[in-house]
Amino acid sequence: MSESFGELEMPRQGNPPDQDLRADIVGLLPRLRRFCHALARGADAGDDLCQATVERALARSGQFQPGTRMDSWMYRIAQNLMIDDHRRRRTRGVEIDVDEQFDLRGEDGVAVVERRSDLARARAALAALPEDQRVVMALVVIDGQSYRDAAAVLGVPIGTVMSRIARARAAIDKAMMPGGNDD
Amino acid sequence: MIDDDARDQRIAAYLDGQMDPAQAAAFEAELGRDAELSDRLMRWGANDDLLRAAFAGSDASGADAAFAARVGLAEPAAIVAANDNASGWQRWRWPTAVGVAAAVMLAVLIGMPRGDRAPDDLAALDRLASLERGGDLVPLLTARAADGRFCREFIRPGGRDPGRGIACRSGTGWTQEAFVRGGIAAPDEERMMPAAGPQAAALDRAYERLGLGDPLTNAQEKVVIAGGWK
Repeated sequence: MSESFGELEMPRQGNPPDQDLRADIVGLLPRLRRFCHALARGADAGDDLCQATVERALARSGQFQPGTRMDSWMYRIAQNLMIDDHRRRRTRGVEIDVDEQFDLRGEDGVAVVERRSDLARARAALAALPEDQRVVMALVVIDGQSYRDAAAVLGVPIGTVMSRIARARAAIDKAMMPGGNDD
Repeated sequence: MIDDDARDQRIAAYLDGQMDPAQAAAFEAELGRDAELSDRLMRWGANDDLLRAAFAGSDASGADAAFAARVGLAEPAAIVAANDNASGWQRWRWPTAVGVAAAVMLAVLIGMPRGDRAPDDLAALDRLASLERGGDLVPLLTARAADGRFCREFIRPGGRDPGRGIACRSGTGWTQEAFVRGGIAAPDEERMMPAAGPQAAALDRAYERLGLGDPLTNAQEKVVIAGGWK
């Protein structure tokens, strides 16, 4: 299947660069939020990450090269922020509790029932992945990017994307097996 | 182990549509012979579906106004749809573009005269109603972008530069925001537009970037055209 069709042009005229950038970010927000939720292992942490990403992008708008892909630029910002956050947490000795990151309580507040639901198991399986695998799953499966585009975002060869996503899916498959997530 | 890795990479590539037709055909033939491979593929596909569903609630269908305000990107409201739903362009876009009289679309797409594109053919968007032909250009719909501009999706079936695009109006003129070159696929006798699924997919990113709201009704569009796009 071809990864692109035709030649997509995005000419820019008229508005000052900052207004164009803001408009672009607004348009990208739904996908960016979804990516951040997957990357940060939860909705609350994901929204925090998304906000930090937007703030950094606006603060560093001069670094964005017009004509290049806005989504790739912002996904890299989000990933770098995640890496920075992990370094800080490791320095402080803070462990990331996956169960805290995900609100796994059902409407009746029973954690066990919600945890056993398929969607919660899938989220937990993704959250349990090493970050490099979780990122490619978020880019390819959740955001629908091609291997080439994901490789460009991550700055790695396409073969690395292929390897990581295969290992990620194998790990998720194992976790989703009956009894695969039980302690 | 190496064989397992290679197998898993092929399963992943097949699921992600990253195989060429010959590779996909060979893999499908292998699926027919290998039940374990087929089972693994089915499980992986099901897990992918669960993950997409698990994160679909992360507001994938349109910009969340509250979150946009939180990050300081609150934008002017788009024209409110009659049903008050959040912008659902992904829901309506194809039915709107496709759900038109078959005779009209066939007349648009078949037998378009060849000829050079007028250098300022986008100016025709000022006066043409959606689906009204003007030279080589046919507007398909009108919607409002998140920044308040009116935008129109159009096709250019013939001429030197055929393709499909989106233009938005600011000041006194139209700015081409996105354009995907490529011949518009001729409609077959049984199936209407969309002319080309991949063209639509390529324009989806422009839709998201612009934050386009629901399309204007015919009546709304007439008012906007008559009012000079104010």
